[in-house]
Amino acid sequence: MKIALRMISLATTILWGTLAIFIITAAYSASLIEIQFEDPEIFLSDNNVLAIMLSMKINNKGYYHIKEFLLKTEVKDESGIEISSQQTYVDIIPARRQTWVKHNITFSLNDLTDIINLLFRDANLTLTSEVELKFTELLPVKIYTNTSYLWGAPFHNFTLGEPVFEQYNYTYSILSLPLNFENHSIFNVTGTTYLKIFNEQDDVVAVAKLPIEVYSGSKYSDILKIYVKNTEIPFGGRVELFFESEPFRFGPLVIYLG
Amino acid sequence: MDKRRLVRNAVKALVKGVVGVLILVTISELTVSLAGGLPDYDLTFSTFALIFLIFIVISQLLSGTVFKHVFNVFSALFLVWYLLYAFTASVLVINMRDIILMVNLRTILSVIIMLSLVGFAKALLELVNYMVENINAENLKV
Repeated sequence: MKIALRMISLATTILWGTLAIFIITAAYSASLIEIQFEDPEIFLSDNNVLAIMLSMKINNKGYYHIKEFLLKTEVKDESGIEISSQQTYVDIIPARRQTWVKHNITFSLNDLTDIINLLFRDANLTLTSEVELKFTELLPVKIYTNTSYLWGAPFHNFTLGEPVFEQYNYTYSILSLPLNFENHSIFNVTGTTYLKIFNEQDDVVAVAKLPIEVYSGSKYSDILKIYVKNTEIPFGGRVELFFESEPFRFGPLVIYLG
Repeated sequence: MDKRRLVRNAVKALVKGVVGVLILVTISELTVSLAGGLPDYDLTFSTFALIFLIFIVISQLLSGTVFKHVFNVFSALFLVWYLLYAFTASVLVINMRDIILMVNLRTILSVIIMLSLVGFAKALLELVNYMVENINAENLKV
């Protein structure tokens, strides 16, 4: 019995020792992991998808591999509507190696037009990130973060002034329509504004097409002008404004005359 | 118990106690960077370390008597109870400002509890063995 007890003692001592070494090295290895975030890169693809690419360098200086690394991000607007949801999976981040993880957060700008407020109003978007990984094979780890950041609207403070008719010559008058907005977004607004003037009978009496290019972070302030025949000046009609660009379109914004 | 053996046990208990303190301080230093954010981590760890050290010292002081084996059975049971009590959820949750870190300790805890149960079984067998060896000789040492 004594020999058996000694063997059990030896075995348990070895197992406790191994476990202690494992816990100490695992804790030490975890403290050696360095994560560095690069500045996000922003792309606007041909199919109107705005991609924010987050690059992070995971320097696993520890003794254990990180396996089944899964990064999930979800972007929601103030009312909780999901705007984007993406996942990035890395099978293994080897020990004593640097691994680059690139994660794309994409927004379809066509979809953003549906969430029309985001075109005209700055908003606080909520970014929820979740990281799942297996550290040392035995320790599943989950990390949650919840951050909010400011979405800059491309047509912030969009205002159309009062339309004013002014006689140009004996045949034509000019309709002047002040247009102001600030491009708070991270991309340039390049597109065309269409103006249509309708008379009381709902017939189009004049059409104008005006190109617009507003750089990110700059203001746009101009007076849109459209020539209308003096004989066709509508006193009870309306003006419709459309905006069309590669990434998105909106309209009509209607202003009633008279 | 003669004086010589008592002194020898006391010296051994002191040495084991000092080694135990050194090991626990090392573990504490190495894990504080990871687990330092845990609520009451210092208190929980210090309590466990203190109880662990008291067990080592008492066990060594009682070495060579039946009480050592009885005490070992009790301490093995206490260890299992303490682990189950301290890690009820088996998920470690650390809040660091906006970040929530969750570590699932189920596998590690299962291994620790299994080893503790083996320790309990071993202590029980040692007690039985000690009693079998000494009861016939009628020299059960106290």
